[in-house]
Amino acid sequence: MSIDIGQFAQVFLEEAAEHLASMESGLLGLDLQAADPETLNAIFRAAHSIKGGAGTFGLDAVAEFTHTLETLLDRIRHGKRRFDEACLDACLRSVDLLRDMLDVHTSGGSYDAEAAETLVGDLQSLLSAESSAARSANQTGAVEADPAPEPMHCFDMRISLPAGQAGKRESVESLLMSLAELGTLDMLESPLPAAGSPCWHARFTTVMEQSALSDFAEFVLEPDWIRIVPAGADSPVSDDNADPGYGFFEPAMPSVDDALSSSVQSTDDGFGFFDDAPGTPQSVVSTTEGDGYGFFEPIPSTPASPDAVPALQTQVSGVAADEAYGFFEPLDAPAGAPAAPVAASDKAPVAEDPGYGFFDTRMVECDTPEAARIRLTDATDGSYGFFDPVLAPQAFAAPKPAASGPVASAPQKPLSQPAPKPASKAAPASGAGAAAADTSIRVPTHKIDQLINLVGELVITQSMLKAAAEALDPVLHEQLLAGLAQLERNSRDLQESVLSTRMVPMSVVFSRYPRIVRDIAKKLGKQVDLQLIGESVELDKGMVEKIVDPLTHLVRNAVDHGLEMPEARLAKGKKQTGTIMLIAEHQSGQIVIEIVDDGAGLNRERILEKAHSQGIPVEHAMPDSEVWDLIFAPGFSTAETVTEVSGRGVGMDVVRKNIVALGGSVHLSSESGLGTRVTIRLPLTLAILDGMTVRANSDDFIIPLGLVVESLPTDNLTFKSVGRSGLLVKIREDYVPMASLAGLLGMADDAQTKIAPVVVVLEFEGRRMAIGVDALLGQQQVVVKNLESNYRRVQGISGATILGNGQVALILDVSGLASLIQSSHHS
Amino acid sequence: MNEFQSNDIDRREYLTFLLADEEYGVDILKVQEIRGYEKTTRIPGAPVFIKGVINLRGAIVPIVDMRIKLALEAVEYNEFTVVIILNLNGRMVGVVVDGVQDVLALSPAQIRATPDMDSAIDHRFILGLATLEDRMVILLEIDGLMTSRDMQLIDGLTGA
Repeated sequence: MSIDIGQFAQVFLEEAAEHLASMESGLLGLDLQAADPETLNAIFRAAHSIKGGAGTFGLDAVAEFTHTLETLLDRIRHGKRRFDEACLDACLRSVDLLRDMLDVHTSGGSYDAEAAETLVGDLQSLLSAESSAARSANQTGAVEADPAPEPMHCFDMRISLPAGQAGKRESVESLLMSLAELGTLDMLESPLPAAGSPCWHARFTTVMEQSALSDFAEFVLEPDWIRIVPAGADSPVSDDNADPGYGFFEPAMPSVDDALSSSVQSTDDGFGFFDDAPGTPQSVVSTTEGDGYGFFEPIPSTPASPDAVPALQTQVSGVAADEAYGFFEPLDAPAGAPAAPVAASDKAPVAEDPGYGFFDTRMVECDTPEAARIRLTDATDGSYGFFDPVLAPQAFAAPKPAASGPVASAPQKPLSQPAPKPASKAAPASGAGAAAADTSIRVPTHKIDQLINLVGELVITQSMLKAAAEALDPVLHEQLLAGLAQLERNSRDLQESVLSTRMVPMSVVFSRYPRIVRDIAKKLGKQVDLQLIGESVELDKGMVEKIVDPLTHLVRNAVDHGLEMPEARLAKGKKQTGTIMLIAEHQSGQIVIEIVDDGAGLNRERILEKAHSQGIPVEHAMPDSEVWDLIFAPGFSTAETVTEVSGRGVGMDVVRKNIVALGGSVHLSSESGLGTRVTIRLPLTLAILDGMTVRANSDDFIIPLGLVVESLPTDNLTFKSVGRSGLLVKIREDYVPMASLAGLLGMADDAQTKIAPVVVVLEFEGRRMAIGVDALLGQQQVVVKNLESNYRRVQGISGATILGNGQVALILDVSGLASLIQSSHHS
Repeated sequence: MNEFQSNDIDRREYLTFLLADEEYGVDILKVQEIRGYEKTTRIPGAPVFIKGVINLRGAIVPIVDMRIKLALEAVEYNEFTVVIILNLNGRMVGVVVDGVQDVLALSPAQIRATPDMDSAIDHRFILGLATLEDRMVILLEIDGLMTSRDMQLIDGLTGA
C-alpha cells in the first residue's frame, strides 16, 4: 500500500536514517565484556524513536519489527539479558533490515520479508534465552579478542532503606526474588518486619556485571540505598578490559555504580574534584594499585546525607594510565591539566583541551552533589565529549557531536595540526552541525549550492569593480577606493563562511568503515583492528560522496589483500590482529587521507609479472614507486580469484580516476612484510582555487598555486633537447622536462619557435616539470566553474573561471599537462 | 478530419535564422536567448568551428560557428553577428549565425519531407522543409545535431 509521504514523513525518514546510523556505530563500539550502559541506552532510545515515528506515519511493519528489537534492547540495557555476540549480530542485522524497510518508502522496491521473519524469530529466541546461560562469545571481527572466559562475579550487597521509605520493602523483596533467578543469592541478613530502616545483606553470585546489577537494582531503589561491592579475589578485574568511563566517573561517593559513565547515575558528580569546596561531601576512596591515578587518595569521610551508606571502594578499570591522557596528574590543577597527548600517540586523537573544558566551569558551581548532578545532566552531550576520542578505534559516528557540550573550549583537533583557517573556524560550526539537534538546521544542499553560486558571482562582480577602479586617480576617489577595498574583504569573508557551511567532518565518511571492516573480516576469517584518526578533519560535502567509493575499495583491499590470515601473521611473528588505520589530516592546503595496514605489503615480483603479462613495459630495475604505480593500470589485479569482496576489476584505475577527477592524487608505498600505505591528496574545496594567472600567446590560463614551485625568466637558463621534441631545462642542478604551454595545448602560432620568456616550475606527485609561458599576470583566488556542464572534458584543463574583466579563463589540470609532457618527450 | 483543429493543436513555433543564403529554423522552445557576438576564450584541442567559451551570467557556454562547420562562405564577426543561445535539456550552447529572422508557427502539414539532395547538414538532423511563399526554411532537429559526435561538444563521443 502506498503511503502519502508528506513533508513530515520525509523528515522522519531522514531522522530514522540517522538513528539507524547511530545505532549501528553504537553497536559496533560496544565492548561485549562490559557494555556501556549509556551506549545501550542511546541505542535503545534510537530504536524507540524509530518505532514511535513509524507508528505515527502508519509504517506498521517497521513499527512492529522495531518493537521486537526495542524489547530486546530494553532487556539488555537493564541487565536482564547479557549482550553477547549473538545479540550484536541480531541487532546489526536488524539495523540492516530496518534500513531496507525504510528504503522501500524512499525509493520503492521491496524488502526481504523472509529474512525479516527469520530475524524476528532470532530476536524472539534471544529474548527468551536465560541471560545466565549466555556464555561469553568468541570474539572475531572488529573487536579485539578477549582470551578470558566469562567470570562469575560475587557481590556483597547491602540494601538499606532510609527511615520513611519502609513502604518500599515490597519492592526490595521482589527485587531480591528477581535476583535469585539471575544467580545465587545468599541472604545473610533480613530485616525485622517492623524495622523502621530495614536493611538487607546478601551475597550474590552471578554472571552479571556489577554495572548490570546496579542498573537492575536501580529500577527499584535509589542508588543511595544499595551498596554493591565485589566480593572475592577477582573483584576489580571484571571491568578491566574496557572501562568506558576510563576512570572518570569513579564513584568517590556512595553510589551503586562503579566505573561507568552516566550523567544521571554517578553520584559523585564532583568526581573527587570538589573535595575542598565548601559543602561538598568528602569521599572515601580506596584504590587498587595505580588505578586511581593518584587522584583519589583516601580522604577522611563524612557522609553526605544522613541516609548515605559509607562510600564504596572504587571500582577502577585497568585502563593504562596513559589512556587517561595524563588527565589525573596534578591533583590540584583540575582546570584541564595539560594533557600528555603523546601517551596516546598512535591511538585516538586527543582533544587539545584534555579537560574538555569540562572541569573549568564545573569547579566553580558545585556546592553539593545535588547541584553537581544537575549541572552535569545539563550538558547536552551526555558523554561530555569524553568518549569521542577515547573510544576509537571504533569511534562513534557523526551523530555524536565532535565537540563536547556547552563547554567546548577548544574544537577537537586531530593530533597533527590542522593548518588552514577555514578548518579551525569551521570546527565549532561542524560541532554544532553534526546532528546536535538543538544547534543545527537541516538545509537541502541545493540551497547551499545556490548560496555558494551567488557568493561566487558576488566575488566576480567585486573583482570587476576592483579592476575598473584601478584606472581611477586614488586621490580624487579615495573614499570610493577605500569602500571597494572594504567590499573585497567583506566578500572574501562571506565566501569563506559560506564555503565552510559545506564542510563536513571526515567522520561522515569514516563512520561506515567499522561495519564494513567487521563484516569483511568476519567473512574472510581475519582479525582486524580498525583505527580512525582525524575524524574531525573537514572536507567539502561535494567530495564526501565521491571519495567514499574509492576509499571503500581501498579499505576492502587492505583487509582482503593486505592483511594476512591470523595464522600466517602469527607465523611471521606479528600480532594475530592486523591493524588498519584510516587517517585524515590537513597538509598545506590539502586534505590527506591515508589507509595504512600492517599486512604483507605489495608483492613487487607479482606486480611486475602481471604487468608484463598484460603487455605493459617493465624493467626489473624499476624503482619501487614506479612498480606500485603499475597497479593503477586498467584491468590490473594480482588477485588470483575474484572474491566477493574484491578483485572484481572495479580496480585501482577507477580509484585513481575518481580521485584525480576531484583534483586530487593517489600514491602507494609499501614495505614487503611490513605493510602498505595509500596516500590520497584532495583539495580542500572544489569551489575555490588559489591560482597564478599566466599568458600563453594571447590566451590567459590559471595554474593552481599549490603546485607551483617557482617561476624564472629563461634568458640565463640552459636547455637541452631530448628526442625529437622533448626539451629539458637546467634549473640549478637538475634537468627538468619542459614544454611551452601553448605548444602543449595545441594553441601555438606556427611562427613560434623561440623558447618562451618565462618558465613556471610545477611539482606534481613528486615530479617536476617546467611550463613555458609568455608572461606572469598575477595571482588571485578564483571561483572554479565546471567546463563539462556544457562542454566536454579537455585534457590539460580542469575547469574554468571568470576573471575580473568578465572574461573566461581556463584552469590548467597539472596532471593532464604532466601526461602531455611525458608523451611529447617519448615521441 | 477538421483540418483547422488539427493544425492548431500541432502547430509548433520555430525561430528562423540565416546562415549565408540559407534559412534555417529551430524549435523556439529550445532557444534561451539571442545575443551579439563577443570575444570567446579559446579551448585547447577544439575543432575550428568551436570558437571557444563565453561567460553567460556565470555559466561557461561553448560557442559554435555553424557557418564554419558548414563551410559556407567566409565569415566575419561584426555588429550584425548574432549568437543564438540554445538550452538543450540543461546543456547550453551558443550558435553563431548570420542573422535572426522571425518566429514561424508551422503545422505538420506545412512541413514537407526533405528531398534527396546533398546537404551540408546530415539528413538525420533535418526535420523537414517548410515552404512559405518564396521562402524555404530548413527545419533542424537541433538536439540531435548539437549532441552528435560530429559537433564534438559532448564527452565520450569525440574519442578524445
